[in-house]
Amino acid sequence: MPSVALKDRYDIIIVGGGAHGLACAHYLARNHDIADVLVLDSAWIGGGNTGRNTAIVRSDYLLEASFKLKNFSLELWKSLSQELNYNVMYSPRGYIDLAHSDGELEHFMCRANAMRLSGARAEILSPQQIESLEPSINLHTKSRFPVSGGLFQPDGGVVRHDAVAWGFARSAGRAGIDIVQNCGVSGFGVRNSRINWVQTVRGKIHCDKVLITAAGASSKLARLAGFELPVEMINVQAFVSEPVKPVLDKVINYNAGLAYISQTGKGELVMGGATDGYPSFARRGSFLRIEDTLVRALQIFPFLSNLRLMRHWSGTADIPMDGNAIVGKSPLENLYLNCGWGYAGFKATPAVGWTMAELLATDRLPDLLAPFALDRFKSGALIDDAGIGPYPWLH
Amino acid sequence: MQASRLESGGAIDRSSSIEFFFDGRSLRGYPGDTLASALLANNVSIVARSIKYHRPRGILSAGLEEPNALVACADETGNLIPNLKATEVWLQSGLKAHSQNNWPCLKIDVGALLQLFSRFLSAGFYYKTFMWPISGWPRVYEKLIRQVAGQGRISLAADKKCYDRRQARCDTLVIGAGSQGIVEALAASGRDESVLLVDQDSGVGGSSQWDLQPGDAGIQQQWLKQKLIQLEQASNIRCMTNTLAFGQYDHGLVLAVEQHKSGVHSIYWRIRARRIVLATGSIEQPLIFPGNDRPGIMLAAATRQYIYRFAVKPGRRAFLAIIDPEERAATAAALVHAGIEIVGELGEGEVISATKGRYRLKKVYVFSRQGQQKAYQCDLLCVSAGWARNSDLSGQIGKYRFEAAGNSQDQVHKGGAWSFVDYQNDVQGSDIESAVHEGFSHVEHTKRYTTVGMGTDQGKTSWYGTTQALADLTGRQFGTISRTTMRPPYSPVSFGALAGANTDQHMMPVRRSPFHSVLEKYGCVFQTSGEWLYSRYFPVADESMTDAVRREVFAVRNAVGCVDMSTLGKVDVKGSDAIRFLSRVYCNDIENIQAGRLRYAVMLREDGMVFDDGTVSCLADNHFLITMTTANSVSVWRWLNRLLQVHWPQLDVQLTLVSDHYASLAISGPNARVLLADMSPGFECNKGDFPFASVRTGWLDEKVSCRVFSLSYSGESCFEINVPARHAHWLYQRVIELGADYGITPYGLEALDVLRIEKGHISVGAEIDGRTTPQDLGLASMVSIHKDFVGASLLQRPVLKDTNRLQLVGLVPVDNTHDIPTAAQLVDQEWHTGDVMNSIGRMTAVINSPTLGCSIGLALLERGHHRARDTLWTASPIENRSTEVRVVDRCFYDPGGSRLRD
Repeated sequence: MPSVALKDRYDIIIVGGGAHGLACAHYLARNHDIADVLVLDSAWIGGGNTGRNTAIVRSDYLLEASFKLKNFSLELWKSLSQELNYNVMYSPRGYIDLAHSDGELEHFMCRANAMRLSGARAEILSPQQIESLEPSINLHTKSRFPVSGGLFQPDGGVVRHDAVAWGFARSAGRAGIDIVQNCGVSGFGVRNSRINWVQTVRGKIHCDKVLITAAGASSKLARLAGFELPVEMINVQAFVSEPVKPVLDKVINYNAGLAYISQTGKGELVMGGATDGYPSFARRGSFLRIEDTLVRALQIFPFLSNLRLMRHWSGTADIPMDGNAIVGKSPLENLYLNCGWGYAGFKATPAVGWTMAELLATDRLPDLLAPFALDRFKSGALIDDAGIGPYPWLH
Repeated sequence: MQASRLESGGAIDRSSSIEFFFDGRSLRGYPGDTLASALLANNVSIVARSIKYHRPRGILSAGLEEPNALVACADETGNLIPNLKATEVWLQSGLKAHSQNNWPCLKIDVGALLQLFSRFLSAGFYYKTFMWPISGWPRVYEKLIRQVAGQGRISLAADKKCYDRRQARCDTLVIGAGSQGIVEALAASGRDESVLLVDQDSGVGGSSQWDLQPGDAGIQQQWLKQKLIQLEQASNIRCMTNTLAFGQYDHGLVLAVEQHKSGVHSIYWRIRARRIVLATGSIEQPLIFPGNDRPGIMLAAATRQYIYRFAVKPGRRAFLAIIDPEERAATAAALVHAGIEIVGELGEGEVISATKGRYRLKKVYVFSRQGQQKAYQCDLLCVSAGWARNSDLSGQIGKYRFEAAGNSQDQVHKGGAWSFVDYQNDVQGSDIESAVHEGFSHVEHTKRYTTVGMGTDQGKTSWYGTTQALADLTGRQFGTISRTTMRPPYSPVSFGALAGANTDQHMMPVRRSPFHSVLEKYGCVFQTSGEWLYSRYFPVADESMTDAVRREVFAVRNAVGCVDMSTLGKVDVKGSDAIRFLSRVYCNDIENIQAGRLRYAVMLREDGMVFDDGTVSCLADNHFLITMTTANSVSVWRWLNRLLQVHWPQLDVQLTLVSDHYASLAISGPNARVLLADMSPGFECNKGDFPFASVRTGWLDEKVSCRVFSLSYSGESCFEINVPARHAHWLYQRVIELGADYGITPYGLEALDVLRIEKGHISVGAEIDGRTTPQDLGLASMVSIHKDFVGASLLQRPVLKDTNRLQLVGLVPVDNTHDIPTAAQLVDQEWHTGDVMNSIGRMTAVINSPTLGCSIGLALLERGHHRARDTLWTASPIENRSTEVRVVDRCFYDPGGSRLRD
């Protein structure tokens, strides 16, 4: 990322140098031959939720819209390292979602059937099958919530999250796209429902089109552009143990409460849980959530008790009123939105980049994005994967 | 025989020596030693191998900043605990310690060959390699890399140690019991405040416990002695040693872990303080030069601590590379005290160009200002670049200043091979250079690209050198580059301690219904669901679940059954606006409800989706009892309170959660009414006086007050008898006793579910899935058009009124000898293995109906309400089958409801 001499005009300005924004920049150049693009980040690229997640990729969703976009992503992950000539370390270790009652397993079966019917791989596992796939798991009867089975997505796994941002940035940079860090946006020049220029700390920059893809800063940026988003900002945390030799192969999701666990290439056991449950921009979580996630992880991996908490992180998740992303057009003519990914956005990175680039380049809404439109809150075409409703802190 | 133990001095107990083992070798030390000091006393210089290049490593420090000396030790239950810092492990008799990350042994480690390839293994190398062939990364490279990564090995055995969580509060919390902390604690005590003084060390006094400054002549020790007496005497000060304060949060919350040597292994403390004083001191920083990681290279203050505190002689011949002259003098004095020869000092303008010694330092090469190289024979090199303040605890709440004391920038150099800025993660100065070269010059990027500061020492000896190198390389001034974001924990803390006793069954409390013990007596099989243990079914002898459920269902349809309904949420609603409130909460008309009657009611979320269903019973004027589903009882209770307190505070309504007050037993079946009459509830039980959808209060046997609701989920005549929870046992026995003649049969939730599916009733989690409107569920006629209610306006959104939505229907197999597969998707045509098809809906519930003698199901189907008698297909790729089904009314049993009215 060489320091860039800013031009005073670009075809497209992407506000937000996270993996989504950088992926969009990459695909603008690669798929549409558009390189007159500026990516702005208020701090350092990949430093928001791209750098603060648990790096899990999967597509085990019941609702078609969610499934299709994330499954397209999964397809793109498979060959992304070669495409970028940068090893993002897509590791399809398999993702296992644990069910804690026969009723819950029935729901999982419903999801697995939907996935299989759409052409993805999915299996329902018995506790014995889970134990043989992941010998380190403990499904014995002492646990508070016995495990009655699980949904297994073999193509799910992990990707090296930082490398995704860096790989897309490097590729976009090589195509001639400008990526500027430490350059926050403080306003938009709006006239007749169009953005003419973007006000930055380095001055005014004119443009044809703007994409806001800024996760936790989305609502503030939308307000600068003159409209409100049906999104709340909630803190989400994750943490790692010290590094140990390989002990856990798969990605495991414990579902009585929430704890998702995998082991990094370096050997750390990385764990995440639910949101902190209240709106905040502080990026400092409540330690109670870490305790809560930990005790759930200990139910299936009691050996963790002998390890130590080494590092934790927290970030601002932007969660809309149905818990699903808002991607597509905005109330302004030449402003596009990609937000509301909450703590489920990492896995969608390449698909969002691909489809958003198509929208920006052609102004035609790709089918995959159509369900994620902002106006669905008006029309009622909600995509509520969890069925939780307009209570973002519960998603 | 402890070859390197001084003959006298030190805060160790020489009265008895204790045996310990390192890699199986029997060694001896003293109580009061750390594993590190005991190893040094036994002349053990190489303790570990580094993570990446497997370089021999010794002991750099004497505290939690130790990056090198990571070992595995057996705990008191015999489990091997990896990655412990030898400087933090207190020596105990029989301690078994092992080196890590080497094969076949610590001295001859094959992994060290990786040093030959260091050129290809620099920071970030794996981002640019291992990409071909496409499946190469997961199949081959990742597996190899994972094997060589990681530090120690963790055993899968369960942790049997005992942990606890506790709370404390105080006026002033002083973190760090060094001289500054002591002064602050005593001052606060003098102001009559309650004081907590915590320190991670085993003693109070910090470095003044042992350290000597030249010319000090014991003044400091004298001072400390006096202060310790004062601390002892102050009744409002509590000293917590061996306690690591690892996190600070807003509003005076500090988290700490206290280590114990026996009994409770460690305690996790949440401390609330009005005022927090951070007296956390500083950490000495090493110098960066080629070969700065050899065993025998030690921080200057650590050297003094080993000499004075542990009476250990860490070498024979020492060279000093200490920037601060005072510190140099103090260290020289300590070395002289220990009888260690000083072979030379690093002068102004001189740099160390290389070190030699395979397993232990043998030679230091120094480049003078004139460019001449000189070699010094030595086995100890005391280093210090200066001190970095421990600002983590303030940094964690966003109040951060990066302060470095006593540095002189030109004395700290980066150049040459094996110049480590981060020992634990094997990050060299050249890695920082290549990171900057690649554009990763933001310190957060540098960290992630090189992994600097990401080890278990959390870079306590790395940030200083890293930020300095970054400043140099990017032409910025040292001190303008901050560290990366600081977050708890300050130093790694035990997961076991954080979880406390919340393990196994104690992870969270189990809720049991008031009938639990009596249900157990009747052979109930329970099922964990949420926080509850539900009664699932009641097998007789060795009956299977299917057989038991079938028998229970027949009993309800033909005689009478009883089921525990106590887990349902119940709220008592009173006040002059009670009906107005309820009318806004529920979507159906309830305003005209009469005392003594009850009504099925549905509440929506604000977005128009069905939230929950239950009953509203009018007990008297302005007095109601409402029920919620078990699954939603907490969220509905929260929701009602929110509505009342935030949205409509002007309403005169009092809500009382009474879920736990009542034991609730439903008796249902054709014999239910006679059984109720036999129980002499003190009111008329005939159909005329106590019709369907009513509520009565009375006294069972003239002694137990009861409230009886006539309602039905099963489709049979049913009475839900509520008594005060303490009478649960009595009620159950009484029902069984009096019901014997009528064929009373206990049933559980499995039978309840079968009965409701036969009757076509909806259930939370299945049909009420958070995405269905009342119209979708066939409840359109319930939705009031006469009033406003929560969800009314958003329910008007076009997509919610669309007729193409998924709508609830009943399905039966076209060939009723076939079963409908569970959890199947619905498709227009027959599905064959491997077919990719568009789904047009999904099954929400499927049973083999005992009453109807065939498979039936409920489903959400596109345009379902307009497809009566259509045939379509279920598809279950998981079960690998597809069944043709027909759309029917969702009420499969007694659609006219005659069994309730007759």
